Amino acid sequence: MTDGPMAGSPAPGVAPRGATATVPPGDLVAEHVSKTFAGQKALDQVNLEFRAGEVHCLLGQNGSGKSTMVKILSGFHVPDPGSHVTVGGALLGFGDPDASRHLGLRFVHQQLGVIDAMSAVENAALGRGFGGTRFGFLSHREQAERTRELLARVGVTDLNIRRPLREARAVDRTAVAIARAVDPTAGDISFLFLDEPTAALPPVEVDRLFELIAEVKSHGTGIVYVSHRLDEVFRIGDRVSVLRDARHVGTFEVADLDKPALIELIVGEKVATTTDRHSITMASVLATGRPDELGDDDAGADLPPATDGLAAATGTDGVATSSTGTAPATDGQATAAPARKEAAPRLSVRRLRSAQLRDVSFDLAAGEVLGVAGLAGSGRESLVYAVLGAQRSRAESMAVAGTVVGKSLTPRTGKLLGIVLAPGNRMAGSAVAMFSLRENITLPVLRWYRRMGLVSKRQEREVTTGWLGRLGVAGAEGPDGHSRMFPQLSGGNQQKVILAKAFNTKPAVVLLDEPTAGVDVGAREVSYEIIRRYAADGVSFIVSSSDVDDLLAIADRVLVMRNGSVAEEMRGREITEARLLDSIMAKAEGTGASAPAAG
Amino acid sequence: MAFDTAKQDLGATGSDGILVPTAATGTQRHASGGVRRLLSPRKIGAIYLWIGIIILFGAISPHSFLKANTVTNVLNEYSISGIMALAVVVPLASGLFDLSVGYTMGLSGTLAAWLLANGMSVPSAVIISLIVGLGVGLINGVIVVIAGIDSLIATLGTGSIIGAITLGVSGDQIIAKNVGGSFSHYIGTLSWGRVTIPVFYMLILMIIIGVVTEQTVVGRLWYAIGFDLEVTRLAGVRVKALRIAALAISGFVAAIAGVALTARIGAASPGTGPSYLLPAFSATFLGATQFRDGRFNTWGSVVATLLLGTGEFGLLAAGAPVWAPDVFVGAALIAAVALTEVSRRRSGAGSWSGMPTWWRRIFAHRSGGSGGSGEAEAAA
Repeated sequence: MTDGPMAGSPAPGVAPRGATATVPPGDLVAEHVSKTFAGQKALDQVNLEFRAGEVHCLLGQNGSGKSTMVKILSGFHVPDPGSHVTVGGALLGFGDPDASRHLGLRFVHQQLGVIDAMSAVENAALGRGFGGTRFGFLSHREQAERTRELLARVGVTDLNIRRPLREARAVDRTAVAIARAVDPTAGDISFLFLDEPTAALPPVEVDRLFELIAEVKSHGTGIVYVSHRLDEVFRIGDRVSVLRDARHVGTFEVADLDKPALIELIVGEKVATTTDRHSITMASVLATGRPDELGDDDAGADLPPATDGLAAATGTDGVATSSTGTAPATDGQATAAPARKEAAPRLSVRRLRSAQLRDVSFDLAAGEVLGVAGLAGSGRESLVYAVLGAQRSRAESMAVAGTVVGKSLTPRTGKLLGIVLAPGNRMAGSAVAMFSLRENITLPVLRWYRRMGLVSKRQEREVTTGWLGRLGVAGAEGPDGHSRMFPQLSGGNQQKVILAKAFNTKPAVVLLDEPTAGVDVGAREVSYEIIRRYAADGVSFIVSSSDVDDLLAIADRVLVMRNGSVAEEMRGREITEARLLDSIMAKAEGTGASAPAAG
Repeated sequence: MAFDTAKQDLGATGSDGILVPTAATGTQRHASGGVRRLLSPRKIGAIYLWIGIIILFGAISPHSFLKANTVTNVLNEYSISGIMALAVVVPLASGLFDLSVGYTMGLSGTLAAWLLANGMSVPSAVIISLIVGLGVGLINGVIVVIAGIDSLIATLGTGSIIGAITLGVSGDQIIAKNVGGSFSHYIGTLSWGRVTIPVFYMLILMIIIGVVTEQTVVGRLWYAIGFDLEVTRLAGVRVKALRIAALAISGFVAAIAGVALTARIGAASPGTGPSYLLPAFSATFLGATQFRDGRFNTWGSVVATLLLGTGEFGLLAAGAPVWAPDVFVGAALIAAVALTEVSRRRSGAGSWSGMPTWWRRIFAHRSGGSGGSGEAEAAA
């Protein structure tokens, strides 16, 4: 079934209503599509063929190029010269969303693009506005009718179209987005691209979505379905294309595949990566030496030891007793630490609950890197925030170094206990964009640099320059490097600054969320190396990531989240790419009431 | 400084320091570049504009404008406006709008007069009026921060209530009884040379608030909160207390302006405060384009107040109609901010330091909030 592009299977009529036949029904054929970002191939000579009226699944890991492919087709990215895409024989002009739209390509992104505060009617009208009367006024009745028609086309008849969408089920919000995308009066539709449409849906609503997709397909529209969930591929896919490392691995009939075969196609031979985790060297960080005094002598006097709060908490029962700014560096506490480390876990969380989490319990040992894996909506993305109380959460108990500190933490008590949160540079809360690197790195512990009531900018500069040099932050070299603004750095270097900000608080536990999102491969390895070295020196990490490469590279142990609870735990050699992916993508069965299956 | 890692204190056995502190060579500054940067129109465009205004009106009306007492007249006349501009610096730096400052000013000024008229001593009347201003600011803070109501809306509401209270206290009368004497003399009209005492209030507040916002921990955290509340909160900063404090300060400073105005005039009129609101915001927004790359700052606020004052004064000296100064203030604000933004964009300084960005951030923040709750629901 790999006949020539122009032959195209005879597709059913594309747009039953209002069709003006500007789009010849037919296949989408992409040939030799390449895309290079800053010297890095995101797509390398990819050839894909989507047929009219089929559900074509596009699979691949993060960074495999599938979202780049979709963005090229939607006119967001311009591919490298030599790339060639036709839809029904008509050439697609690149970099122009209108051109994509004109050829009948429609896109529903993960974020849906619906406005929750508005009703289905208003959302449906958003795209182009309809129902205007002769005098330019909106006709509410006509709008409502049109919305009902649109929703009926995707098989939704039970939605109150007058109520704000935030009251509707998640699947109905998706339905409105899809109905709007496939509005036939907005032009002919050849292909509908769905980007992880089930990511935020509870399992029961997924069935509803699939009925809806079948409905759209029955109108002759081709569906390109991007997902991480393999079982969905087998339920609705006709054919599947797999991308890996920017290349097209192949296109297959779903019927010819089984799940293990598909995982192997996605993962390839890369499983070996876990074995070389300690072999990577990083020149700038490995240039070792004794960490000596930096800056003037009395500057250090005010700086408390890293786990000042932690030590205090173990000595007494108090979070409150410790003051980060003034506690003296007590050698007694510091030397007592090793014994305690063996005795009690650095952080112990029991039955942590939040809107996204159900009874999550775990212990974190000193120097351990605990990975958190899971699909979007599994609870993975909120775990580290819930631990630190950055999201409303409550645990049965939280203990730090063996001492119960209460039922929940706050970012502030966490800081006093030596627990810091460092969201990745793509996440909210990572760094202040309008602050310089100096101001960002010193923000959490600004008091340490206070002299006679004023902030000593000299000390700040010295500290920052030291960090920038040690972590090799490119783009911030030289004596004025500290004054660069955060957004002026590349993603990888932003990530280093975020790590510097966290480490500068002398943490006992660092919570990372998506530490390598938007970071290129080289900078990634550097980040991994920094984390490993700090872990080797006793700092514990919890790393939440949607990218299994992160977990493979640095995690000693991985918690796989499903349905808001820990579904599986893997440690050491058990952490392989295939197992991890299999576990992450396993269907979130039932209610998750079953006990976590120990790895 | 022991900021390498936590290892000493965690008792980790690894003895190799993993990170080498490089010699800190970042302390030398390039003086010539610094001076050039300091004098660049992008940093201090308002100063050049100010000089231009002086030259312009000097040429138009040499006899009425180019006089020694023009300087002191402008200073004296706009000192209260300057204090009001300073009142909104801290909340704006913290990302909060305090639209009630004009009414708070009116309340404190009227209250001081009322207390004096009812026989209270000068120190007590002044202190009570200032404390009331502080209290109003605290209430604003609690409403905005604890109840979580948007500052624009909350202070619009409290401002309206405060205005009503002011009207009630005064009985809609101008209060002058007992206000004239020593109160007016020592608080409002005492002068050195021809410079009256409110000018010194303005300068002292400019320095205090300027140093606090730019040189202290609290000030840095205010800016951090204003630029990115979430980052600051996650950094374990007491953001609630700091935001409440920001609004309390604006109430307190507005009260100083109110008391000073009453003393200067020798009477209190319940309706005077609100007219100071818009000039205060104009001056502070204009001032934010100066000196500090888009950050609200006291020096900019005072310079902008005096610049706008000079322009108004010059227009009136040149015999322009009474509405002309308002046109000038509006046009100057828009022109200054636009020029700064254009020059930044040209020079490729990036979009991180401009007023429009600042606005975008505020609105992005708001819409982001609602999106977040939607997500939470979806996942629940």
